Amino acid sequence: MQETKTGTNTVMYALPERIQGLIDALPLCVKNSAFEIRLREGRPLCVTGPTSFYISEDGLACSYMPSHPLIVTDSEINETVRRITGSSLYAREQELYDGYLSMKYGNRAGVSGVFSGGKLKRATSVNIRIAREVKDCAKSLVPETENGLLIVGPAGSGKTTLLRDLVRLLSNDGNRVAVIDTRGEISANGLLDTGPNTDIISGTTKAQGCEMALRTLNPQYIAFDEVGNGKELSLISESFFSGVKILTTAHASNVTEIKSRAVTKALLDGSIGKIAIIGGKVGGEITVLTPREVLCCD
Amino acid sequence: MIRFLGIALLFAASCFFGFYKANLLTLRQKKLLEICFFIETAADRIRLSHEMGQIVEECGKKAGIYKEGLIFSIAPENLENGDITLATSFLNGLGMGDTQAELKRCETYLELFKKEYIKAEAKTKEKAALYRKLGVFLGMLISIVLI
Repeated sequence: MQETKTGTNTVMYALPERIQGLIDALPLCVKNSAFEIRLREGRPLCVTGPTSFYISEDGLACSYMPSHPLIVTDSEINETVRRITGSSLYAREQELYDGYLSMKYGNRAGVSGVFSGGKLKRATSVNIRIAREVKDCAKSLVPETENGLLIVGPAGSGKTTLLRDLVRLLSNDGNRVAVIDTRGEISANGLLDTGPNTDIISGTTKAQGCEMALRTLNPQYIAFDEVGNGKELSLISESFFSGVKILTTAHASNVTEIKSRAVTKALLDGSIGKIAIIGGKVGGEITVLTPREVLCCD
Repeated sequence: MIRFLGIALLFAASCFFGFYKANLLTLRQKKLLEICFFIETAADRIRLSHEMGQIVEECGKKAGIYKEGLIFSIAPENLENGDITLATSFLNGLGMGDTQAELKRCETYLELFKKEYIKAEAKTKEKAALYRKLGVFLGMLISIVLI
């Protein structure tokens, strides 16, 4: 496996100067393994990787709460939102309504705060998620995609990274893949490698994108991140019966959660061929099961 | 000879001053018009969800509006203090509201700048010719006195 994007550098533009300086001065091992930078108003700055670190005022990364942690101010939160949106909050209304902001290089920021009438009135925390591109991490999953694949795992386990690499590998093998990249996380507007035979549809909902791909792109595979609502589920069934294989992801930590969550439970009816379960955190062991095996599993 | 040269220079300086003052009024009027154009364009492009940085970069140059880091500013040349205050309050926090709020902001400031433009236009009509004439006559007066 070869990790090509280790990117705190790719999110620096979004951080206020004071925080930029401190993140930049962190040890390489912390910077390179980080997959989240959490800014919460009036709370310590936190960099999350395989281990979570609090950053102290003098720039030390501590796995425990330091005596003088770097407290993020409300103006720094506002500045971060401003930097991410390019001073154009109005242009990202829909994204904010959905609770996130797409960033450059396929990164994403979750935004929470006070919403009113579907509009963000005051941001109180920003969670910057750093996209990773780990080439060949999905090599073992390629043979499992014959009838579609659902990748499940807890938040931050690398579902999107796996999906991106799976798309790249299938595309490299000459398969036509349509990616519905609603949040720009999979392809990062072409910055991340998704292979030569991949068509990217972004700026639509997943359901719209699936319909467009089915009608016009004649794909062998349709890939999208985080299957959500009923319309998407019905499109998965529709695609399955029209010979297109679906590659998607969903949040669930184990078999019990797969069977309990409405979204994943609905996919156990056979409309998806295999389910890959990522154990634990990043780089965890991947177990591939059929829906039947999941249903029989206790 | 030197005396005549000096008188000619004084005459030229006086005329130049008059024309310069008149030109300042015209330049202010033009800049206010450019600001109005910018606000109108910005409103159109906000409707299309274009980013503010891009709007300023592509359309703000003539109006002297530019982006410096996260802040939008205006070059103060050819503007009066009141114009600068108005422009600064327009540019302060620009882009950080929702679409409706930004459009409303554009509409409000467009009205205010239009009013300023109309005033500047009247002032130019009224005073530009006066400054030019004053410059020439003052030059002539100095010349006559010195001759």
